[in-house]
Amino acid sequence: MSAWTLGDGAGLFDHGFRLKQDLSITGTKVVSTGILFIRSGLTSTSLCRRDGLGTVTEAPGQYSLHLSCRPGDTCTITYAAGEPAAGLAPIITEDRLRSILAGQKVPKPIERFLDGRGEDFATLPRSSATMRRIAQEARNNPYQGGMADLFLQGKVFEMLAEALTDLGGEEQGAPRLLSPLHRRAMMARDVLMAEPLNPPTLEDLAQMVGLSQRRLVQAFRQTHGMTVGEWLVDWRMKHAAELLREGALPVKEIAFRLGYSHVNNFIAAFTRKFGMPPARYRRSAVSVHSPGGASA
Amino acid sequence: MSAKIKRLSLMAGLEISVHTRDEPVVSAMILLVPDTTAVVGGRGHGYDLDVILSFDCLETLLRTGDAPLGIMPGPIDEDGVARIGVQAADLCGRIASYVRHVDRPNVGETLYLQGKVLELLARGMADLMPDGTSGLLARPGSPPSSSG
Repeated sequence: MSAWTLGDGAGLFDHGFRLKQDLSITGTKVVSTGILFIRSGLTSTSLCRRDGLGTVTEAPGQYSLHLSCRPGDTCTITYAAGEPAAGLAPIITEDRLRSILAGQKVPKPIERFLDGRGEDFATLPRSSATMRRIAQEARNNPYQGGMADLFLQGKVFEMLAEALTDLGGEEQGAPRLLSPLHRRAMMARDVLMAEPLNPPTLEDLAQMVGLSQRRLVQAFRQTHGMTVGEWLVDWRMKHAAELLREGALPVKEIAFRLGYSHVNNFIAAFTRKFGMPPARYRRSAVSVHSPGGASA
Repeated sequence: MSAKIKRLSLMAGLEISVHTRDEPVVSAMILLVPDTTAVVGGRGHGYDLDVILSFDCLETLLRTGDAPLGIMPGPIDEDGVARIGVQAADLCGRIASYVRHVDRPNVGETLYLQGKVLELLARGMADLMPDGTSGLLARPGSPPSSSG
């Protein structure tokens, strides 16, 4: 078991072991300040019992969120023999949390906790692949010394962001992160943007962002409102329009630069997008922007 | 295509600026402006990203554990610029991509981005200090610390 202090009022516990017999660990909160505790189990099933407040089963891949206001609050965690037990648990004090969240809209349980008028206990076992990934990244911390602390503090912030998103649920105005699927769809668009004239195949793109082709197609359409192919054509047409407006390149040259081997295909695609062929688009753009032009 | 610029303020003294670019250039650097500002920047995935930190903010972020602030060693040229690795540029690209989709970040998004900025700082500084054992950034011009 390892523990890190991450600045005033924040810390991180990391544990990993395999047990020959059942083990119960009991801890008593000795500090008078409230604490927020995120327990993320990676491989183990455990029972977390808070005296007088209930018991939560923590399964692999789930995490639970504890808000503890009372000094002397006791927590007992029981691990079963035989299973490899590994997990990560950031702790943040009420004061630190208040400084992090200052002036921002927060989910109601956190608001009540910070106001000192909330329930002493809230525990929300959640299943989150993202939280598991962040915890795994933190456990595989590639740095040493001060940089390791910095990296871990970043991971604690990410875990807190996920927890706040989950805690907010459907609350209106609650903090919400872009979903992991949404982020991957954005990554896919970024990959395309990096080389729109020489894009990867859909299969390669899906592999690059860690999704199946079917999920990528679905996520891309949900996020960007069009398919990957439509996005590429859209980008090319917008780029073509810009080249037409701003330069004197012949239409044929623009078509070639955008990867069209036949200029007629380019003209047809451009006309579908803008309702007029490229040459007319250029003339109208010049007319609009030139001094004394129709709309100037 | 013409560049688009987007800026987000994440906390006092910490701002993120994103430029959209065409070029698939991948690079990253840290720029230290004496006594005032640090800029961690990178190009990746079609974006330019600048993370602009005041030194006060930087010191707040780096106040982790018992690690003392150290001195910035080695590979910084006369202008205070240090080139950091391609992996940092990749992370810059991912942060920039996220910022592009956020207008007024809520607390979750702010925390997420702060977390990623800390990861970027760790990664950038690890590139500068491959032994990974010494301290962190110090204000340029300040007396060398005895850490590390």
